[in-house]
Amino acid sequence: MKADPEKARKAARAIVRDFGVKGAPVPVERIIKSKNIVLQYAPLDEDLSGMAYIKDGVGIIGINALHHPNRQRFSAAHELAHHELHEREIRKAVHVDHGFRMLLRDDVSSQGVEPLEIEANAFASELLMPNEFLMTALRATGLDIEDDAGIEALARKFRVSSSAMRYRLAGRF
Amino acid sequence: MFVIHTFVLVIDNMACLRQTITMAEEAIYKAFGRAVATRRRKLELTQAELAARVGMSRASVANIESGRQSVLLHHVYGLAEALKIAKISDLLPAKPSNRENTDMIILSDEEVTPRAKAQITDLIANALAQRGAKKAGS
Repeated sequence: MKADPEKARKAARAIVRDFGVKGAPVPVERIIKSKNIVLQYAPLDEDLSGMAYIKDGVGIIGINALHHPNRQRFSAAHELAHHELHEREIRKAVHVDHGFRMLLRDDVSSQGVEPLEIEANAFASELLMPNEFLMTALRATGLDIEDDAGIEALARKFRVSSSAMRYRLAGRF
Repeated sequence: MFVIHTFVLVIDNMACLRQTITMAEEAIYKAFGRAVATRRRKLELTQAELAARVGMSRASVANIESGRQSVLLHHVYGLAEALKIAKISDLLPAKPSNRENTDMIILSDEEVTPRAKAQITDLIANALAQRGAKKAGS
């Protein structure tokens, strides 16, 4: 399977629109609950960010409660992507995600990242940092990618980690 | 000397208490201890620093983290606050009895540690129990 991040972004945009989200931060928790998926927080090993699974028709998203809340939001959006895009796969086995360890790899090794994860990251990034809202925010303030304080302020507004925001602005999701 | 003597008695008492708990119950304290230790390292705190915030000795924090000490309820609140955990339940491991009917789960990544697999199994059991309870209630 070849990754189709554009399809993933489209799916995320449709959700933001259908849910009537007017601005940042996007209420990812409410979106997940509205889809009748059980959202569960639990202390997990540091390198686990979350999991997605469908068991006997019950959709489940698990999030590592020990991570920073903003990182939890990204994990939740990432797992929602697996439910929206990869239903067949997550019925067969519990899909376990290791999160940012993978995102923070350099370009060469990240090419080895599975297509499912590329799509899920594209979806999560578009869901939490919708292009439209981002453009509005950037038009208002303007932003230099080297401006750490500016990126942090933007990340706070969207309630994502600054590394997620940096990746988004660099167009790497 | 008197103080040291009392301290030894307390330890003895604790050891006695711990003999009455089952393996499954012991697993709860181990899991709780690991959650505390993971979160503490994440915040880059030493055991001594955490102990000072909660108002207990460093040895108690070490014992709780290794699961050797049954933690007191007010210490759970104190630890959650010191570790900046908003909901106490986020620090609590699952009930061990929930694990039974999900022992057969298949993971996408078989390289996860047995401990992580147990955590995930618990999480799924809890999610299913939660949904089951909702259905029964409606």
